[in-house]
Amino acid sequence: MNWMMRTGGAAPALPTAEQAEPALLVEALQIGLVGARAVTPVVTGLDLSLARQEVLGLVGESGSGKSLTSLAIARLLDTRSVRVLHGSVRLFGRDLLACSEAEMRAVRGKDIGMIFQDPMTSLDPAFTTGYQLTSVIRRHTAVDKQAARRRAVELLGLVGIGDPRRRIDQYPHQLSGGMRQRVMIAMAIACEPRVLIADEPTTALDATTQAQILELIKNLARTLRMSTIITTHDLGVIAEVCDTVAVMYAGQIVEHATTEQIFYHPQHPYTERLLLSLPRVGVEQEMLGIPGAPPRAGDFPPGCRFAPRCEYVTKPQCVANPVPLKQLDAARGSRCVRSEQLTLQGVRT
Amino acid sequence: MTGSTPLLSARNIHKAFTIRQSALGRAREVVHAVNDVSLDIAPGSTLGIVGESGSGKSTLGRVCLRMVEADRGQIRFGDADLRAMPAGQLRRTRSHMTTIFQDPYSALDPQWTVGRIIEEPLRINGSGGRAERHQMIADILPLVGLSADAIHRVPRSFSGGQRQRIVIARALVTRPKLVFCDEPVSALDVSTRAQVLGLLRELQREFDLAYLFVSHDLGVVERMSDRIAVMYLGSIVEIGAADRVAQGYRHPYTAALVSASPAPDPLAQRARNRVVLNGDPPSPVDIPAGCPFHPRCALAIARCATDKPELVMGADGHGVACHVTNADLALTGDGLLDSVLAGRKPAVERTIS
Repeated sequence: MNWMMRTGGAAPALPTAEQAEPALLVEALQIGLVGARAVTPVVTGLDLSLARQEVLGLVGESGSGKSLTSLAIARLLDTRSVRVLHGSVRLFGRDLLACSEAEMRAVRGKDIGMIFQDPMTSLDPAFTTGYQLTSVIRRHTAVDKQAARRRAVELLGLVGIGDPRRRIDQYPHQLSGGMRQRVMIAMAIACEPRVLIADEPTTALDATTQAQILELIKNLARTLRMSTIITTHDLGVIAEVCDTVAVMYAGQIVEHATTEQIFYHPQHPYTERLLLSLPRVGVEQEMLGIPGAPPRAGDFPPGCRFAPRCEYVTKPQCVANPVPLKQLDAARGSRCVRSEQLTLQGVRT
Repeated sequence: MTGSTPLLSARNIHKAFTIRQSALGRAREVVHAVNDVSLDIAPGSTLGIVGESGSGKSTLGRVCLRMVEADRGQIRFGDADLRAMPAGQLRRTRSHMTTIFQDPYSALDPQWTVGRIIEEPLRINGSGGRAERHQMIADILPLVGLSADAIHRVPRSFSGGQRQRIVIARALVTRPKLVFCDEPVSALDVSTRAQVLGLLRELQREFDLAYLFVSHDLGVVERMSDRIAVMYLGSIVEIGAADRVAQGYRHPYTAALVSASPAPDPLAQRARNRVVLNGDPPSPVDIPAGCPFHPRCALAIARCATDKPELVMGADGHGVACHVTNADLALTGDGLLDSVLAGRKPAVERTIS
């Protein structure tokens, strides 16, 4: 699907076995919060497949587990408090969870680039942008100082920073929020990683800056042929940049599909209500919202986790047993036992 | 707007903050947060203020409630001159103008029970005896959707949306006439946001409240407001009825803001051309001369760099501060957006400059 979109709908050549292998394959991932006495599962049984050059959106509200999932993929969880309990994460077939910490340091930055929400806390305030950028370059490639600096200037230009020769010697506090996020992106793509993980990349930014940064991420993903995961709570971001979407709720993926399917023909009541919760400039549509609040980790309902807030709930189907993710067609799946009976409302065009 | 006397009326407000000063008091850095802003809020209505960070929207709200003192300008609340008010009268007036803050996590004392939190403004005002105050709390809780047993609990046991309901109860318990809502849903999740906005609208009808509603989210502001003011670097660049500003906007910055507002509609989103502004907003320390938006404006003409445009109000109560669009009234809504996208300098350029 994704491959066809990129080639403008021309008949695709048959993919070879190697091309068919996803860039990233997450299976049965379970993440737990480590407490004093017990481990509380927060992400349970998560499967995710990121095709080559696909831009996948992982959307969910706070506490849904989307950020933990993206951090777990890069093995960046603080293991004192959060731990992967089981499952596998394969990057082009290589099991990342089996890698040593030293091997992971080589993977991060080189094979996986990461962008975080808040560029002010992710950049070191004590060093110039140039120093931070050249450290990344020199860690992963055998180049001398001058070559690294030339590359750093080139990267700053690539991410749209005007006057890169001056900016390279400035400190993070001398840059605006949008520019800091551009520097973060430059660091993430410095070694041309094959996979880019962006965790809420525009949440801390203003609307007009967000538009610029999304445009940049979209263009870089295309030109550098990166496979990309973007986590966000904002369906507008998804609509703007993603090919496919996985919707997370209470530690599970409740629906996954192409972006257009998700927005116009949702197959899970949570997705429907999330779409109807958004205000839209210039469109009269009642904002409905969802009654109640998501369950907390450790307090997940035994059946469908959305059932207590769902208006379509029927007993005992919905509340008795855990609901598996049902594959509806090649691209999509839904964790709703009633998805085939319900006609859910998408965004009106 | 016309007809009824405004509940709150602010004229020519200026507010600057000194953020850095050398030992000799010379080299100063001054943030010009609000520059010559005037606004009116009618009783029972909502004025939305939308702008990005650094636009001065929150400062304007705080100045209007005299939470910080304006440097210059007049503020009238009903018949009274708010800025000339002595402390005692100001304190009594404060019970009629309250605030809902952005972050329900930091706005509530974690050690206080909900009952004490909501009672606090009543105690400060010296309203009623103990029993009467408790009755007022018992009355407000169901109105914000909290159960009666909430009064004995502490904020920690509530979710973000419920905490914001506590903040709302505290703001409304004194039965105010005006509530300053400072990004009231920005810290909340999408699904909770709609509930809280719905509640605010219900309460507005119930108590005939006026809202000064500040947010960076144009979609939210449009949904909540009767009138919208768009702020950029301390100035109101456009003001008018909510649908006029959101759809028939006449300022190039509003056009950029509308086109940058993410729509949950992938086909429309990808089909439309969006205005991607050059660069970042300049810092409010160093506001450009002339129109504050001119360095980033596709329609700017020579005059924009030197003369600050006045907010010219039309008969319909829609006003815009722009030399270009005020000279060409056809530049509005989608037509304006097209011109901005094309970077087209309109034909009026020759006649103005």
